[in-house]
Amino acid sequence: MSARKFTQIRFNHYDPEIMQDPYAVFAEVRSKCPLGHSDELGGFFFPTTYEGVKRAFSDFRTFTSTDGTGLPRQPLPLLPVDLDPPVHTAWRRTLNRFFTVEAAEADRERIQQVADTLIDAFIERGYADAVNELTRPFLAMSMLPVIGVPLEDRVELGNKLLWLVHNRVVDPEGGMKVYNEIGVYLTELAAKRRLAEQRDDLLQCLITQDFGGQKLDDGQVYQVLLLTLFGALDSTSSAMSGSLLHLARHPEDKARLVKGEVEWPVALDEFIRFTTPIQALRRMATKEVEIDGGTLYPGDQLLALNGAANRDPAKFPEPEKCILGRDATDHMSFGSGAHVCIGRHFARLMLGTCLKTMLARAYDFTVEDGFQPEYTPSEARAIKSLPIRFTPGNRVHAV
Amino acid sequence: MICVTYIEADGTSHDVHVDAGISVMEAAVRNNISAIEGECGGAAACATCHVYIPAEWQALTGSASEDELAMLEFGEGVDERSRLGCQITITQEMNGMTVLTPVTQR
Ligand code: HEM
Ligand code: FES
Repeated sequence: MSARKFTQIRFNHYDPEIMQDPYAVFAEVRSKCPLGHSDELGGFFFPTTYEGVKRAFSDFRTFTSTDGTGLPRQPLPLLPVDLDPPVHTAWRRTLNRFFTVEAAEADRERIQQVADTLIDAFIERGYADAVNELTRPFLAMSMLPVIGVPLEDRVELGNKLLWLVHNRVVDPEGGMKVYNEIGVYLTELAAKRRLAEQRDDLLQCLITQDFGGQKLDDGQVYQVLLLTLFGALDSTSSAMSGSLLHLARHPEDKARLVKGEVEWPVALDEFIRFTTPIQALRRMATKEVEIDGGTLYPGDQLLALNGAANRDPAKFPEPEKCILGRDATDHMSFGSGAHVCIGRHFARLMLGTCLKTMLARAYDFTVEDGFQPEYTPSEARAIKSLPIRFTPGNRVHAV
Repeated sequence: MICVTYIEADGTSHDVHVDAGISVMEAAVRNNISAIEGECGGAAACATCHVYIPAEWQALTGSASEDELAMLEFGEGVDERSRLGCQITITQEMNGMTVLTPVTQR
């Protein structure tokens, strides 16, 4: 075999240092042979051009999800993300009903209430940690009812999930323990619901519907619930905190949004591109294929890096800048192809509600000069804490 | 520019003007024709771009590949005119073509 072409570099999305600025690594690789290779985590290739990443997500015949989509491998398959079409398609068409634009719109008022309740708790004070008091609880409070998880279990479950996403690699043993705890909780939840009154939520659908001609068992219900929780919570809260940080530093963009000089849907796409909350999903090559100037062979592991696509200057000029008003509809933050994020309409609605409500109620929020955000490593890259100050305001709901 | 007419199940018709090289799905999505969703972005992996091509245009659009037929199994109201819109690239010769959309993509 002749020498393979790729750019060898140390990249690992679990490395806390690299993940403060993964884009520097992607840019270096892109400027050489844009197919990167790292020896970390068992060894994997990664395209760094927009086109390369998009192909990895879209061409399911060449880049399969059936070997798993987490790197390193999750202890059990997640559904439906670890399936390829056409098996995946049957699942997806059954699940889609809960995640349509219409379903998200029908929840708008409830989601607005979540925003107002959380902001009420700190608005009179004039300062807050926007991550721990707003964006993270926002997600759990908005999404758990859609999924069918009782709201009273929110804090404990939310914390366990967060811990798992960020620590499963550094502490595999602790990871397995928490994994099992969540597993027991969600499996019991499914079993209990089988006996309870019917409701119209995702959990009920998983119990009642046929998937590819069969009913799911409690274990499979758990595999879908866990994926939806992984997918929903940290990702959207990361988009929120990253966007809030941008607005805190760019009062001129706040003004443009409030005056309507930039349309919200256009701005939301750019915020989601710029923040790229989910950074890395795995695929496995099923055949010999050219990609980003190199060749992959069957069995090669491939990491599809959403952020590498989103920062390709050939696709988005000056990609490191958040430019409200640019056309970012083609961003890769939600992936592409069969698995394109099913929750994207909810994500956009929640992000929009969060930002609009902050602009309406705490318009002058700022961060301290020189504030350096610290980002969590892992598939989900998010600001850990965002201290903001603003002129105190009034609650909208009485205590 | 090439003109393609999309006719929805209820008779609503839209003329769109596009350049050659994009797909029947992309042309519809870019022109806000919501009867075509195109969720997977053209990867032949979702069947939400199901369309009917009238017999007189089928010589130009060709016929569905085996992979495409497998995905069309998920469409609603599929018949012998059915195609995935994302698998048809618009060419100059298709100027004046009519495309029908199904009652639902879900
Ligand atoms: C800004 C926020 C979000 C981002 C950046 C994001 C990102 C992604 C990405 C990149 C994928 C593709 C996975 C793959 O190709 O292997 C995906 C799939 C998925 N997302 Fe999201 N997501 C977000 C919000 C949500 C929300 C709010 C939910 C739940 C309501 C959700 C649920 C899911 C599920 C269930 C899948 C799997 C879909 C499938 O396999 O067909 N996501 N998401
Ligand atoms: S756009 Fe998904 S199958 Fe055509």
